[in-house]
Amino acid sequence: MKKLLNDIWYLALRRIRPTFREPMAIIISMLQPIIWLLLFGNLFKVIVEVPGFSTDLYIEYLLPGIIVMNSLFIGIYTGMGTLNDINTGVMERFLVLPINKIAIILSELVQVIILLLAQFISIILLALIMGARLPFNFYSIVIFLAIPILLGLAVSALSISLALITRKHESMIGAMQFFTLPLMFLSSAFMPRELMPSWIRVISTINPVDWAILGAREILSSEISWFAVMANGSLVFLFGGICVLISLRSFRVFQSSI
Amino acid sequence: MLPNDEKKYAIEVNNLVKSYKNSIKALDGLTFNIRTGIIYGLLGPNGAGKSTTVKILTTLSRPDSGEAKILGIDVTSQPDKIRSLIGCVSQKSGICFDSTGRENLMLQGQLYGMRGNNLKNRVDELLKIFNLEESANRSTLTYSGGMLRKLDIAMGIIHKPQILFLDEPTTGLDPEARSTLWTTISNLSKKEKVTILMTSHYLEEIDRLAECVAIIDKGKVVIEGSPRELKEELEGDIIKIELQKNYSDKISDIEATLKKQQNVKEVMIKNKELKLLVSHGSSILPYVLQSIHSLSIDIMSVEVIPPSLDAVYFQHTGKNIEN
Repeated sequence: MKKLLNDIWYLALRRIRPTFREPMAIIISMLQPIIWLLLFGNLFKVIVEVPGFSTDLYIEYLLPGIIVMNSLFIGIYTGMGTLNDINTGVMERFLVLPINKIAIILSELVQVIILLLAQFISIILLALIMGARLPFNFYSIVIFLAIPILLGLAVSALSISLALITRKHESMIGAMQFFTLPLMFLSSAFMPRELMPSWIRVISTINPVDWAILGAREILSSEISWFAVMANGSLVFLFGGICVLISLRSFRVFQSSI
Repeated sequence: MLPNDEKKYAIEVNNLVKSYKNSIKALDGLTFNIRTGIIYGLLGPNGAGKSTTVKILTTLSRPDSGEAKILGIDVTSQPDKIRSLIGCVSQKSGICFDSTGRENLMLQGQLYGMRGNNLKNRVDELLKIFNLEESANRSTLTYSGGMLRKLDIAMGIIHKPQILFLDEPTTGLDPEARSTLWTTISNLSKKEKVTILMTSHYLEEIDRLAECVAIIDKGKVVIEGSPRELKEELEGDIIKIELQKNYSDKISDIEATLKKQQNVKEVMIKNKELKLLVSHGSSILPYVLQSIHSLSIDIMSVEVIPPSLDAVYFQHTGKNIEN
């Protein structure tokens, strides 16, 4: 067990080190969510006057959505690193080492957690500057960060699976373009469920992105319904567990194809 | 010292069979044994089964049937044990390009369970042996092909394995880098007593480094022996003649005429190419050319190939290795 944790950490460091060596890369990867926060935050400022919003500041409504969107964008990109490892022979080298194969996948997820945390904190600070009032205490901020991170891990695991099975850049990019925006718009990131057309509302209930958004947004409401937090959080957790199992299964498929 | 069987052979491969999904048989009853402490060469063209053999022995892939043992341990049933005993430098470089040379070595050592000063000293030692000290802290993106290959090998031996697999170690290198690597590999075998299994399609490389070589074709060992034995056994040259056109109607005539001469041991005709296995190639060449001419066959070019592994390879597989 200790060997496994050590291996995960050393493998994760391999990814984390170069990222922090060039902090610009982190900033660039955050640009999109920041632009969305600024643009949407300003564009739809007055929308909160429509009844159905939980808050009178759109930026407060938008923040969980932008955070989750970041998870989605970063997560879906994780498989690119795996694909690169496969193409450069790094994956084969790892496979002949005396390490547990789970460490290879979990190390990618550790890196995602660290990257997401760094970005979430910056986004929250920006939202505060833009006037959001965030009634956090220690527990609520931990949960507020944990749910989107769980979603990020789930999406990362799926992205890694896709890389292991297709081994093609095209399919990775295709998946990114096809899924990211629709998943965002089929959620309550920008608009509460009450104001959605009914077919979108139906889809949003089975959209893991929306589970994460609802779970995180509940933390920001004046009277937190812990039931809603736990229900949505558990759904995301369950989804994440399934995704990690899928990625382990994909790893076996990949190994038998060598 | 009692030479028992386990000590005698570092690697035992018995009747390995492996097919891929597209039903191509990569290995078809491959069998060979490697004595402890030697460099053993696997020679063959692309697709002969060299890489598949290495993949099975390094636990990356499983055979359909057959048995492979390293230091007496079964490869398929105890892969975890095997992994800490062997080092592997595969055909594709396994270097992380967003790390420095030193970071690559450190990570490799850490994953083998090495820690602290033990690891640090070993990394320094390897950087020195492979002459990579100056560039150790630079990104590997800036390395030349030769430097990358050296780093690959350094990573493969960081944990001082008893068995090392080198899959096409010098492919894509310039002649100078290749010869430096040859010295390195031969030192590894002599000084560190590592048993090395090396695949290559460069005859020169195997000729120079390997104590024992197996020529494989279509997933089988065709012949095995030291490069010298193989060349001596051949006792002769190959005369390669390119004909003007395809004389398919005269094949039997050509064979009959040429075989009259005692020094001609074998005649092979394939399309426009005529190959003769002969002794004293240069002295019987005039006779050969005359006989062919007498059948009113036109010749484009002639080549006498002296005894070489290429000739050995050709004799046993009917193919040239270089393509």
